[in-house]
Amino acid sequence: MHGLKRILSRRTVARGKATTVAAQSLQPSTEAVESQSLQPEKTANASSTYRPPYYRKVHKHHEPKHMLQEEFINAGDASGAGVRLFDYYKTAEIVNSMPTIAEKIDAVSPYERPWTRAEKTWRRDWHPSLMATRKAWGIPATPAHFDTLDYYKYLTKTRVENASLDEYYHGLRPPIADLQNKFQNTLNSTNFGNGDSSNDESTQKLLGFLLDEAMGGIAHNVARLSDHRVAYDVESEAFWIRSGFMFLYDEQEIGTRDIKRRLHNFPKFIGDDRRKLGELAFVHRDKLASQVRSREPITPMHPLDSEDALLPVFDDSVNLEDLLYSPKVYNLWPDESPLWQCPGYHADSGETHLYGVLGVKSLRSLRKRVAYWMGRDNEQDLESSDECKQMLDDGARSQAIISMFTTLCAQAHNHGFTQFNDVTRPFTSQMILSDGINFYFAVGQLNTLAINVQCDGFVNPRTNYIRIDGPHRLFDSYQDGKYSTVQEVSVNAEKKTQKKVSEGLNEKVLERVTQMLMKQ
Amino acid sequence: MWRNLPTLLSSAVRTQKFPLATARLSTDANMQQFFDDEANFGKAELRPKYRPGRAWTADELRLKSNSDLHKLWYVCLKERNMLITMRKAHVSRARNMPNPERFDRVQESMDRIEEVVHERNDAVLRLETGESAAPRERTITSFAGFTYQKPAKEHYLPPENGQKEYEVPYLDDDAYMMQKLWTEKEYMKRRDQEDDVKRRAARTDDMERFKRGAPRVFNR
Amino acid sequence: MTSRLARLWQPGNPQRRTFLPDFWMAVVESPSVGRNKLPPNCVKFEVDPRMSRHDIREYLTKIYDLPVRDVRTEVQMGDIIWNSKLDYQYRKAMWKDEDKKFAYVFMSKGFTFSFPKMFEALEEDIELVKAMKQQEELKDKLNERFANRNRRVGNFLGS
Repeated sequence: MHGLKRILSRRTVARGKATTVAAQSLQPSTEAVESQSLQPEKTANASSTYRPPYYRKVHKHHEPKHMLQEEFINAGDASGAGVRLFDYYKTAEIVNSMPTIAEKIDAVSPYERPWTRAEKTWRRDWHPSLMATRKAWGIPATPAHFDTLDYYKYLTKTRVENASLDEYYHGLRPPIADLQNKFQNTLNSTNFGNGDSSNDESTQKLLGFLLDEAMGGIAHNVARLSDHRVAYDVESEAFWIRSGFMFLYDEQEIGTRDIKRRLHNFPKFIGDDRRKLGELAFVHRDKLASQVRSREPITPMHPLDSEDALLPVFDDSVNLEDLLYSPKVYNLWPDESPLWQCPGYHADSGETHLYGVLGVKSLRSLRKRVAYWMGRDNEQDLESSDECKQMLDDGARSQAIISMFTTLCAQAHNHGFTQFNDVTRPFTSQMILSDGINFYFAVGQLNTLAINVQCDGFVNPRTNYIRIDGPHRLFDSYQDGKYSTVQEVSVNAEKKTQKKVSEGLNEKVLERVTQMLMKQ
Repeated sequence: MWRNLPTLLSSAVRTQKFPLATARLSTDANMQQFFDDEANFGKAELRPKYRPGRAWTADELRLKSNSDLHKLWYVCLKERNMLITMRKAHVSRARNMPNPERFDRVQESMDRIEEVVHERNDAVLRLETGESAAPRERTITSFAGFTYQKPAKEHYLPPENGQKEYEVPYLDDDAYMMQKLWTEKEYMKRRDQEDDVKRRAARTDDMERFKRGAPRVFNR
Repeated sequence: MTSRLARLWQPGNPQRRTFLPDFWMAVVESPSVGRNKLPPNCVKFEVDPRMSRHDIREYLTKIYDLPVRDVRTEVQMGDIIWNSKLDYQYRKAMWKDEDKKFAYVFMSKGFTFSFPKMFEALEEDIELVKAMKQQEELKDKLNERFANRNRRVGNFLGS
């Protein structure tokens, strides 16, 4: 077996163009696969990846036909893990060998262009059948289902912490008196009123104004802001593959109790690889109201090899079986359009400001959806019902998770990292989500992209992290052109909080917005 | 045996509350309305105690007030939904549903309620407007010359050329011929029927016994 | 307004209300594993094909008092029986089943529903089991296991 030259040729079809990738002669080494699984951070290269002796199916090859086969299973055929791992590391090798980032992204993209009319017309009966092209599941800009929080956490492998962000912005004390006045003027000039009658477009514009005025307020103090790039109506799109959906191939016959996994002679699920790997492709095409980008990244919340990066997404009480359903349950639909990794800019655009510091998103359309789910005619008085408030809160947090992951994933891809060669440094970003009145602040960190493979031998305990702080109201009441906020002020040292009504908008919100701009 | 209104046929429904009840039922009880009594699950035929009674007759329904009929309609509707659910569950497992005549009885009751309500509505409308409550029918002549009734439909725009169908006073040549031939054929059919009846009446026993090819019985 | 006739509606007309609706809805089972698995707060209904999402929501909220949050409908085309299974280009349809409309109704989060198990203990099966048991007892009574009811009295004596 030593020294035998083996040529692996893989044809990747319908990725815009057909390419044949021929591997070089590979030197087999027995410890390579095991050492790979123990240290997933090492980049795979020609000497470390080798084709396993039984490169056959990605699943268990066949059911044992007799007792001997049951007891003495062929190690190569027992599970498809070895084959899957080889493919993973081989793809990593291919990606590493690509010269430019745009090519890396194209190599990893699960997009398959639809068949043209000519291809469909001129197909003959003896030609191979035109298999359905792979489509990614399109996550909508606003959650289309009222209970998506846990599902989004799983899709992006993000651990959520609903805590205050005060310690992250400790030490930053920006002046906000100016911003108070300016923003109140803006609200009055745009006839914002008490916020009941605005729509998505006007909310986006308003958030853009807020960002502008906040920047204007601190520009004289913070010099580096002059080098930041601000964009409005930003397209933030990313695609990724998430594994763990093999349950979609299970079937239970009516009347029996046994559950069979049907892989042979069974249609593949939309978005999955054609080998039925249970790895679905997802895409999120986000519309940010505005985005601030800089040349340098902001400091991460915790380092990549710390304990925090290894905490699990769900605690032990949650059973994943109860959580995971087909994407259709969450009102996701397949998306046929081409897939991009675009955190506000494309890979081949020659952008210099590659790190997204702050993203601002409008949640106005969520209110409309919640009103529809609750069976109401209009969006007024949604806060009166507890269930409505819960839905709004869940929706906002889900959107925070997914928007954050989208920008971070796209940024990581534009720095050369993919789901096959995982990130070696954390990516951090900040987000403000608002529907004009309620503000959510989030800081998120991307610790891992390798969430696309789940099999024995693939170990990736790292999880992504997001801390969401909210909801904070911009103001509590509006009367005769004046805004007022109810603040809880602690009286004496008895820790009693007294409610004090102060004129103007909520200082905390304005302060936080400015702090997010100042953070480096 | 008179039943109090609004009761229904099977026992399961007798215990349910009405849709306009102010108390909010628990989720289980709400979904239970789609299914039969638990005692009836898996039975080949319902036990005598749980067997349904007969349908409401039109005369019985005419005695009831409008709001009572309204309530009874919804009770029947829910019962029908329950029966449909049970039937689908049985059909999916290739089993026979017990007492399928319940369907017909519920449907008959609902049809009769509709009939009574329509009668009352029709009477009121005739008194007040002079027009009937029944959907308007138009008489249309087909291409072959036959006239038939067709219910009137609503349209957003007036008809274009050739779209509207009419009853014509004079038929064109082909339709005229067709009607003549049709009448002739109908006449001949009737004539043949009458002749058959006469011939059958004129047949005697002996003709029966001695007809050609008839069985000749030895031992009578 | 009735549900038996399709009446027109134009913007500016008052809200259409149905008096004595004719619609039917039936709860339908859905698998507990696989791609068609539904969460516990979702109920799958088969509904009258004339119903819209709004109709379904109103129906369930007002008649059954259920906390409906989201309704999604799906029309499943009925099976067609062709006169030739293989000739795709020139085949003719001989029979088509009726189209069915399914509604996936999502209730509020705490709601749980599972289709009741109706056929665990069937009357017919129980009777069968009883009959089998009685047969077994009869065998014992008649000593069937040891008695020789073989009319043919052994080759030795016969020949």
